[in-house]
Amino acid sequence: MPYKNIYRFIILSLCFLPLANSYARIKLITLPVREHVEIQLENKHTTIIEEERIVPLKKGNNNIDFSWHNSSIRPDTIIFRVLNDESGLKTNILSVSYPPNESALTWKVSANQNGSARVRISYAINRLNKKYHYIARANQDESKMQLVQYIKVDNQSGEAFNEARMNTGSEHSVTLPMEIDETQQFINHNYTDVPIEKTYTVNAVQFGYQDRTQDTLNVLMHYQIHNDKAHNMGTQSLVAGKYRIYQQDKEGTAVFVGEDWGEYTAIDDKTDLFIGQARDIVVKRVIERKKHRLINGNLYNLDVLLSYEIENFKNKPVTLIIEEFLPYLNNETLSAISENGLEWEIGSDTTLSGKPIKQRTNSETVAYQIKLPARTEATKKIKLIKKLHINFKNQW
Amino acid sequence: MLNRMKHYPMVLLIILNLMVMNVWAKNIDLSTLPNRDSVQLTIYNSENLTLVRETRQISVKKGQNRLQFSWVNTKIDPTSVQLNIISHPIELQLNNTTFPHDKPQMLYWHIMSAVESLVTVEISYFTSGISWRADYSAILSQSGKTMSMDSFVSVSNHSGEDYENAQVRLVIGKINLVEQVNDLVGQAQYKKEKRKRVKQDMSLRIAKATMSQRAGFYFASNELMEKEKEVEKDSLSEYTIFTIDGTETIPNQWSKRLRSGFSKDINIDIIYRYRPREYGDHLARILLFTNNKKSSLGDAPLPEGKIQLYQKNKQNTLTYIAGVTLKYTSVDDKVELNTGVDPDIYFDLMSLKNWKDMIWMHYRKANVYRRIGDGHIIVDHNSRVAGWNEHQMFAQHVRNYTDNPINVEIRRVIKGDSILKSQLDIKKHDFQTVDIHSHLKKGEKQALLYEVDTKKGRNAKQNQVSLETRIITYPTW
Repeated sequence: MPYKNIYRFIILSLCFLPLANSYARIKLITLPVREHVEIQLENKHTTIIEEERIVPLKKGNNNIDFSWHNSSIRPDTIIFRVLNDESGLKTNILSVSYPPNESALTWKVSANQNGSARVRISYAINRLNKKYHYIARANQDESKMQLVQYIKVDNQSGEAFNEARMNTGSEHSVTLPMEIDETQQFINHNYTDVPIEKTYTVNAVQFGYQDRTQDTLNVLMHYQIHNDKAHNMGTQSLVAGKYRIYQQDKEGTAVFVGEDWGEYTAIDDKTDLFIGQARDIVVKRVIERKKHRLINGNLYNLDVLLSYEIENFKNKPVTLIIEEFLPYLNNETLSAISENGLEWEIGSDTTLSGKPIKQRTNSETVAYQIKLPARTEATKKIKLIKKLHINFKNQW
Repeated sequence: MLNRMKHYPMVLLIILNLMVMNVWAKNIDLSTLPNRDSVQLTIYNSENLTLVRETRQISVKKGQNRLQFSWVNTKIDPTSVQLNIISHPIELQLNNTTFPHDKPQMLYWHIMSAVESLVTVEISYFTSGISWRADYSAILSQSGKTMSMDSFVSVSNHSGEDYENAQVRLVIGKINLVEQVNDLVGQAQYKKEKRKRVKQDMSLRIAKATMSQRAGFYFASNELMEKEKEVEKDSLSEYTIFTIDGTETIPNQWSKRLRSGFSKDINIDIIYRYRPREYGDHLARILLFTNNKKSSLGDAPLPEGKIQLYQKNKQNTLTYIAGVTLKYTSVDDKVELNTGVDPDIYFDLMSLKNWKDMIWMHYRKANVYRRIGDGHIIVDHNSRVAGWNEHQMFAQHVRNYTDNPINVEIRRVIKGDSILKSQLDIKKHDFQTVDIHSHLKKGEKQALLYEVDTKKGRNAKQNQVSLETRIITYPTW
């Protein structure tokens, strides 16, 4: 690092002055250079710098100045540690003094002999931020993908770091120079052969209608990413960030198919990436029946039958998930939401096969999964009619 | 001192007028400037108040002497300035104190002396603008079971005056200023001196023992290596006084930070708590330790201050956890630090199923109540639901994606006349609040199931929750 830069920004210096005048700001100083710099990017909000320098100490008391003009160090986080004692050099940190109107401090350190001490200074720094983003490249049949995690480190902190090791919490780290106002981007993880689970989902409330007059629902496509060993991942939590998704076409060219914000995904957890709307799967949702069955006085049950007309124009089988948000359905049918908890059960007229999906069903939502077979040349398309019968009970 | 006047316009001056006549010259004076021999600062943070006691040596003539004390551009309380004659209390007498009308921040002491001598006087006064604060820096071990902690005290001087080689005392606790300040400092001083005497005796014994050793034995000479200053902690009544060993120089506008303690192996507990009223609507990671001897702490209360928490990572460097406030903690009391959300813990409450029973109808005409399903129902369009029991089943999902087992404590408010049914480890906190406890191994996923039955309308007789042990299974729809 050129000396000019050192003077401008963070300076660690040793003052040889009588200690009685320790607050006089005229000094003769030596400038120990940084031996090693580590940028800790693990914490979501706070970046920590750890730098090591070799500081010559004389027997007796020494003043070590640390100043950070024009850089955004958080002074209350500064930690000073002397690392090695191999040579028999023993040190005591006696005090820290903060001069007025300066971004600086002075450690008063006593040493038992003349020698060089390796010191580590750690501090939090503002405006040295990181962002995660991902590139997913799916193969042509969307069975597998490559997922690359990038980290972009933007240095607006006012300080340059020559050859800094970026520590992101993963087992490996990269060493890069970080100049002022510079942005560095590097690959943190590269996962290959990640099996894809693609889902198609309809939900009249959450995803809405494609055409309300025709009762056709939006069919949303998701890639489900399982951050576990079974899916060739699971080495580190996936930090939230933007996922850009590409798919290979017949010529082997990557075509951009969509992007989404991915949530924080811990090891063994999963996340859904929305990749767009399907056009070759058409779902029509109609309320076929709504019947008010009086029990007594103002107490009644409400009988609702939903009908789904599902068409698959694709040449391959797909899995469709149908979700119903029941408070809305109750409201849709009777225009009043009960103040009490919604009591419901699945009625006998339901033709959706199997049980509701456990992970997606609760007191307000019911979800079913349907396997749609591929269309054939003979049939041209696959059309299914499925019914969902919900009985809302004990309402008033 | 005069030299500093060039740099610092705000100075304290004490001037001894050499004239001993009863009539003072109006505009032409000859003065000497006695230096401060010692100064002691007792800083009461709760009131922005510092008691300064300084000693100076002055020469007095037999007869009337006039002493001028001025404090231009400082923050001294003029009503608090006191003169105390230490060395010749009988021979010298303070007659009166004059505050001249044309010169603010100045006073004259008129002293009658029976001798011509060098006299030691103590001047004490209150000043504002000097403050101290505590702060801490803690490093957790990689396993998260222990931590080391440095405690610091920082003194800032914005009083307008330089204090060189001052003995510094810091008072923790809220003081009543009316009478107690001097007692407090006096008693602490006595204690300190007593301890100092014990130390001196010990040093003397060691020195004697060394002298009696045979030739060829040497003490390792470490004279040049100054030791870290000790901060002595005295408790006095409701207060704690930290006394910094030796003296410190704190020029005006400067701050100085000293280590007041170091504890190497503090046993810590990390517990994950959901208490929305205290910590916000998320599962907070709470770090707990006790201010006692077992934690290599406990020699004094921990004053309130910011604590920066770091953890050693696999690379043997530090990962930042949080910067939080450590509240004043008495000896043997527990410290609770809320370090925020841990992204590696999944926490979500899901309402699984609701149902109702024991529905009572009110027949207005006859003014009678009938329960639905009891076989005696009479259909009446004017009847109304008057009471019912509501059942709600919940799954509290918790997943531990961290590298360590964890303990979770979930506080839920359950209103109304309710019964909480489950097989979980649940304790009542108050009449309508429960704490659900659970332990999760590394990588474990739990769905903590419980059912809340609440009597509503005319069914409700109480307003409290009771607990019932019952196996709850995941519902099927």
